[in-house]
Amino acid sequence: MGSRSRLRFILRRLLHTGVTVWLVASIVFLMFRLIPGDPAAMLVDATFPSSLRLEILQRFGLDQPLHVQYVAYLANLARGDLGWSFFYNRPVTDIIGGALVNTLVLALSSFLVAYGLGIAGGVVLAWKRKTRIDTYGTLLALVFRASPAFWTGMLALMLFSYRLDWLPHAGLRTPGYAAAGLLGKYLSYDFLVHLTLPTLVMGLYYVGYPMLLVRNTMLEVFGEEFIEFARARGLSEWRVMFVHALRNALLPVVTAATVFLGLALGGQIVVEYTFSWPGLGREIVLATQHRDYPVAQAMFLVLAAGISLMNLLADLLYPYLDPRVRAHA
Amino acid sequence: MRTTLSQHTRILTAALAALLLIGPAAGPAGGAPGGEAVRIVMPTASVTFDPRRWEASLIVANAWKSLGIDVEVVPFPDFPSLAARTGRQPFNYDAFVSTFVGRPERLDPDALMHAPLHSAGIGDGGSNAFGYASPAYDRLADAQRRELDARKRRAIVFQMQELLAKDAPFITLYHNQNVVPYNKERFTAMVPMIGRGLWNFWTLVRARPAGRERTFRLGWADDIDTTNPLANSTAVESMRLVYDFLARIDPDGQAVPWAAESWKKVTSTSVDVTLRQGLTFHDGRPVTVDDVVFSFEFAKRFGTAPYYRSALEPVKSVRRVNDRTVRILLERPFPPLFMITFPQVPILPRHIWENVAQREGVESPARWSNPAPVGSGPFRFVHWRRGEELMLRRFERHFNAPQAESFLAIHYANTEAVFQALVKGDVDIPDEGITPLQVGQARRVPHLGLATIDDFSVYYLGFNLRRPPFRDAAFRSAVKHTIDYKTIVEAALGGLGVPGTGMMAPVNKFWHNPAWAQWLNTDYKFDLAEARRMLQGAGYSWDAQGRLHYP
Repeated sequence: MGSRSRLRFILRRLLHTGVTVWLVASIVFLMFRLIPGDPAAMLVDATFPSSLRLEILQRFGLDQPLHVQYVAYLANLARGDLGWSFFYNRPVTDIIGGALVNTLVLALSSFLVAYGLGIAGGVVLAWKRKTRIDTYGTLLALVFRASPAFWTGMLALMLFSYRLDWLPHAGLRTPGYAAAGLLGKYLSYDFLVHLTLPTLVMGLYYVGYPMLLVRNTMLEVFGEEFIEFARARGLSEWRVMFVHALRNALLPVVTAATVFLGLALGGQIVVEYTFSWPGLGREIVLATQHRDYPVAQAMFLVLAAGISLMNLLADLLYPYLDPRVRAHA
Repeated sequence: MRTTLSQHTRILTAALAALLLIGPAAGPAGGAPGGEAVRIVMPTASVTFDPRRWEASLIVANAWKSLGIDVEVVPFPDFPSLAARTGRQPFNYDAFVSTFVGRPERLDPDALMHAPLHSAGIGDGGSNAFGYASPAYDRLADAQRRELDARKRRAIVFQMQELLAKDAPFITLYHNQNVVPYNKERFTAMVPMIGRGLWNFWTLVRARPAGRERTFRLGWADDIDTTNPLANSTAVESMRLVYDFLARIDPDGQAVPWAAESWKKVTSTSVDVTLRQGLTFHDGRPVTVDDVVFSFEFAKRFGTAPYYRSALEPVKSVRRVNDRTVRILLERPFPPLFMITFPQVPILPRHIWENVAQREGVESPARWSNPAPVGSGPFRFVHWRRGEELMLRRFERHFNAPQAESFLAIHYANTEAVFQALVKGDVDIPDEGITPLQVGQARRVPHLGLATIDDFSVYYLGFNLRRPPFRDAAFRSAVKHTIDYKTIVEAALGGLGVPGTGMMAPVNKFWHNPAWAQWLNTDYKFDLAEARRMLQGAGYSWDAQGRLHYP
């Protein structure tokens, strides 16, 4: 693939991403206005005179016709202005910023657990195929995959937090902690202790997918001639598995991993709720309850943009990882 | 001949009368019913939104079904969606179950008895979801607003309650009791406050450390919205610790002078307030009468929080009289001035707020984030980490400095996590009462005590008087006998509550009309047979399947 055609490919994919984000923006705009109830209901009930409700809707610009609101929303979005939160009375970017960091930290740590354990486990399962290790390992991965994260989360809380009191049950840090720099806040021992349970619960929930993916792709690769050749060269089985077979079985895992990272931004709603983790997922729930349209819209946009970007990244990485893709293009 | 005719007439009349009387009663056996079948659409809170209200709604719906009424119960997942259905065009509901949460400001009858029931609020999106239009009631509701003599005003409010009990635009199902657990080993002398439970101003200034722990901890499931007192709603109670007010509502629900040393009514529309001496803002500057004048005018002009409307709308102006006194001039006599206005308008430091919009580059003062609030209240602001915690510290120079050294409010994602934090000893009180299920669990935890607090929240069954069947006063009178209060309190509330008595709960002693005890045994007595008789008397009838029909 020449550099010009690659540039064209990238541009085309960027255009696709742009269209996707616009579609999502439009859908969430409509979706939140279709849910019955408006943000004024959170602030005024029947003990206030009726005029007050209209005044509040006016202040939020919700008295305008829908198409006027939509055009204003898109125009602001194009300028990078996500709007003003009705509930928190501050710019939406302020609210998303902090939540996004918390969510990313949890997503990355559970990614490491899921894909570290998953890939290593997949190799072992393929290596020991048709033994008890394979049978029970596969079963275990499927059990974690099949149990809802809130349920395993609650069990983990009951055991490790309420009963044994080894780990905290909620939040990012011990309440009342001394303020430190941004880096210090996320690199402290206290934070790691709080991160452990949600990471494990989420990591174990997702571990099955890469594990089985690696196992099955490895089994396909085993039939290839270069594996025979590697063995014939007298390489250790360990080296054959992790260096020769695994490297060639990683391609689908890369796709899965990028999509996972995109989805993990929003897929943690349940875990964040169970562990009182102040991230994007929990903020989406709150914003929906409060009918805080600007925050809810922005959250969904961030998720959509995350997933689109990660897909784009997967597409761009492919040619580097697999020369065959380069050749076919 | 004449006799025969009169005899015939008499027989005919008797037969006709018998037909009229017996006809409806014979309905189920096959008599021809009059109008259409009675059908009721009833929006209410879903079981996840509020399990107690959902249970109570089902108990009412079942009683109605046993009378042959076709009831459709429509659950709503949250308040905005329920509110969007009731009181809005096309007014497509017959009965609905909703709540007025008891807040101390609502102890004054004006909040619950004026806007929600005055005919001025009947329109689309208006405050009067019932469509109740009674000129007699409107007159009384307006009159109590002007009456300055508390006893005379109470007499009017009693009349209003009597009228409502008779007209029944709504029936209050219950007033609940809250069970609030607290950590009895770390702090003592917590103060239960009417309408608020333990999470209130008085607990925070009076609670005494029992051991070494000097930080009082609250666990809550609802984060504060903003620290700007001009715009906040969920942060109100926390900011009440940081800012001071002319008056505060005491644990029994009475307004007591606070930053004001005293007040004096000059005329029916002017009040002189004397400021307490020696008050200081947290930045060291003194609180002056100029700050008070400024705060009232500033809040009236820029306050966007809804409660400023009811608090400041009747205030015409505030003037400085001398170094210690301000005069408040009212548009009209306004009896709840001390209950609604004084405890809700914070005293703001003029030197910080005066030019805030220009200084901070915001559109209006209500939009400033106010990252480090400076007030003159008993607690100083330390930090707020959104989604995590709010930290305040004792302000030593306050005239009523708290016993605890600090206050830490910790945010959890849900009420179960708050409860577990109590069990673990991570927090000292929750922000709200716990469920009957949790009560059993809390009893087994040695460090937890349980406080039972009467609430004056109003859980009511509202009727849509704009259309049948509830447009018909006779139908409503019959429905008064269909509320099984005993089962509602026992089954839906686990015994934690009392039968509903209109807008004024029994615990609101001064305003509650004691005649309710009698009405609950007469007009509102649970008696389905009586309800049936009354419906019959009003011309309703039943078809062969036992369905109730309009006359």
